[in-house]
Amino acid sequence: MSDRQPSSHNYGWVLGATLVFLVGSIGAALFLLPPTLEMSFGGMGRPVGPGTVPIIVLTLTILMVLIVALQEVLYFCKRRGGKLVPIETTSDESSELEASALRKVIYAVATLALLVAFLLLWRNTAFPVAASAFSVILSFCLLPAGWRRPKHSLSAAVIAIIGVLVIWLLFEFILNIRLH
Amino acid sequence: METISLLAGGFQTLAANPVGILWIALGVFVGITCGAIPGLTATMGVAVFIPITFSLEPEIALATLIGVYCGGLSGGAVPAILLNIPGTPSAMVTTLDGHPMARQGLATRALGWALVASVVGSFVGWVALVTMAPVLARLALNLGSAEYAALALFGLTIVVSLSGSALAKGLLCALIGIALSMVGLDPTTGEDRWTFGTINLFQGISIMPALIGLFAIPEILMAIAAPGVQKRLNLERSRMIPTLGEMMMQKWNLLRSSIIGVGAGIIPALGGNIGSILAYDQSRRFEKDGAKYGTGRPGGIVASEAANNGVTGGALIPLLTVGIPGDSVTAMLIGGLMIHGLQPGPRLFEANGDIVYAILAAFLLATIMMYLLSVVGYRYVVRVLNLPRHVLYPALLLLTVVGTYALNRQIFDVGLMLALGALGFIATLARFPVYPIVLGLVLGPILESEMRRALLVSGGEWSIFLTRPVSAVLLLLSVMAIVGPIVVRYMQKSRASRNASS
Repeated sequence: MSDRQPSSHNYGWVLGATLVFLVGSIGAALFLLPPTLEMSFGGMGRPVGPGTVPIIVLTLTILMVLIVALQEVLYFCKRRGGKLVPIETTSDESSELEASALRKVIYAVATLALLVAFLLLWRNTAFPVAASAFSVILSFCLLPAGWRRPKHSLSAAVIAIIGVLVIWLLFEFILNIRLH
Repeated sequence: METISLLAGGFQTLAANPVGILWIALGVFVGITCGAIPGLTATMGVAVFIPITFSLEPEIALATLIGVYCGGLSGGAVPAILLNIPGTPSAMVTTLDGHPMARQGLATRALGWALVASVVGSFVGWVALVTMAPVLARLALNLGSAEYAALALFGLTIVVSLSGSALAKGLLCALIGIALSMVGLDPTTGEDRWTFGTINLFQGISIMPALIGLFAIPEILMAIAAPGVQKRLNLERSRMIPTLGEMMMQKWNLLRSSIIGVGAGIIPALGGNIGSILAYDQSRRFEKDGAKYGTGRPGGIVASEAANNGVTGGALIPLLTVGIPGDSVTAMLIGGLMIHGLQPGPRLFEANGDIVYAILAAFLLATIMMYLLSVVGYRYVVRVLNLPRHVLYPALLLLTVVGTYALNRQIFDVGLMLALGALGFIATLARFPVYPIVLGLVLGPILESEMRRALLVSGGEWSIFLTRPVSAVLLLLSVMAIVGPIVVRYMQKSRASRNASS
């Protein structure tokens, strides 16, 4: 799977994401520990209780977080110590389709925020309204720089709304799945 | 003989449902299109398409999804050849000879070779599936709880062992997946586990929101961030499909590569990427013009495409026989099976034999349709590559949201899907493998329930896992899968340092 080395430019972001992932994992494991300890762990006629496997999983999770953290610290020290040759760009990352980590984070956070706003709007209005707003805003954001003119923006908005209507009609009337 | 008659029944079921055949054709077309768009994969196509198949009959729904799977792997060759950008990860090797051929003005021919190889690979995969799956399912019926628990553990460890140098990261992700699978009421005692009183979590985390969140959302987010490809593409007008004589010259390459693909599909997590690399490497060794591979030789395209399509049949074997997904798309298919009330595993052939054989028949039909649709439609699929991102991605995101909502008509599921999508995105960015999380989520309940059942039978004796031969062998293989890569890496390092010092 993914074991290529990050470029120097992206390394900070990869490290940040790793930190978030590890802190999130260990935080969740520690948070779940007290309720797990209240579960039963087997007894008469039941060698394994509902809490047995969860407690094993949580213990192993904490252990693995510590191991991965140790590996990352060692890797970080190696890089800083200059023992590891810094890789400016890998073949994958130099690909014209590969975005920088900063760009990925910005786009992902913005898109997820937009999706959450869409869900809130959907709960308070109707699906076509909320989805059209979401789709039009995202379409504008994704328009190429040279296309951000009234004519192109209008056609993008129209196409986005048509797309929403197609999805709505497909689910509501063909698949009979009500989007309320 | 029994298999042939059951398969004939499967074909009859399909023939009686012409609308179903149209759905399969649509699935194949959507798959080819998804595969052809760089950044989108067959997994994404299946994720978006599962909700649309809710209302279909199970065999047609599953056949449509398999059509998306086959089409997706085949479509990946289009941008690999035309743009030097693999449409799907498994088409990476296709770029090596496909794009040089396109630069020589032979793009249509290269696409023709890719198509023929994809169809042969899919066909060989289908033959392997039809001949091996029923036999293996019958054998698997003899397995007890201890063996099933060991098998689930083996499935998890083999995936983790393929996490490359990130073995610990893979293990952590598998554990996170298992932890997610434990949320909800305990299936045996009904005790509350990590729900914190949330009614929506009493039934546990639904598999589909989790799969869509972990696979599709990070994929779309990454694709949205990628700079757009603004090249206008068209195909030159020339003969596409190679002649029979030309194909016969590649017959051993086609067969060898397809078989390698099937093998790679059977082993969980190897998948199309490694299958096509292995096949390309073997083809380079055995073919006469192997030394010229990388300069635009049809043999290179044939090896890569036959292997990555052979994977489809191979990956379905562990899915249908023991309920272990061979790759990320088959993990999605598990969700598809469950939605239609089908439990993947050996009992599937016994309990729902008619549906399973209809699915197997539909797989062959999807392969034939892949050929026909590609011959007619590649020229149009190429135009999809010109589709602007601002049209494509909002629609795809809406489809994932609506699809997740359609499952239980709950906004909660959509929120869960987005939360897991964020988790998947962070994991991808931090270079943690996402597939072990999904596999942990799928195999966690099997591992726990079968382990508890085995211990109940043995009266709490953990030695039951070692005294039963199949279970003991699987546990030994699991240990080897984890320890093996560490030992190999240690030996490689010590050899390298010995060489450096001498």
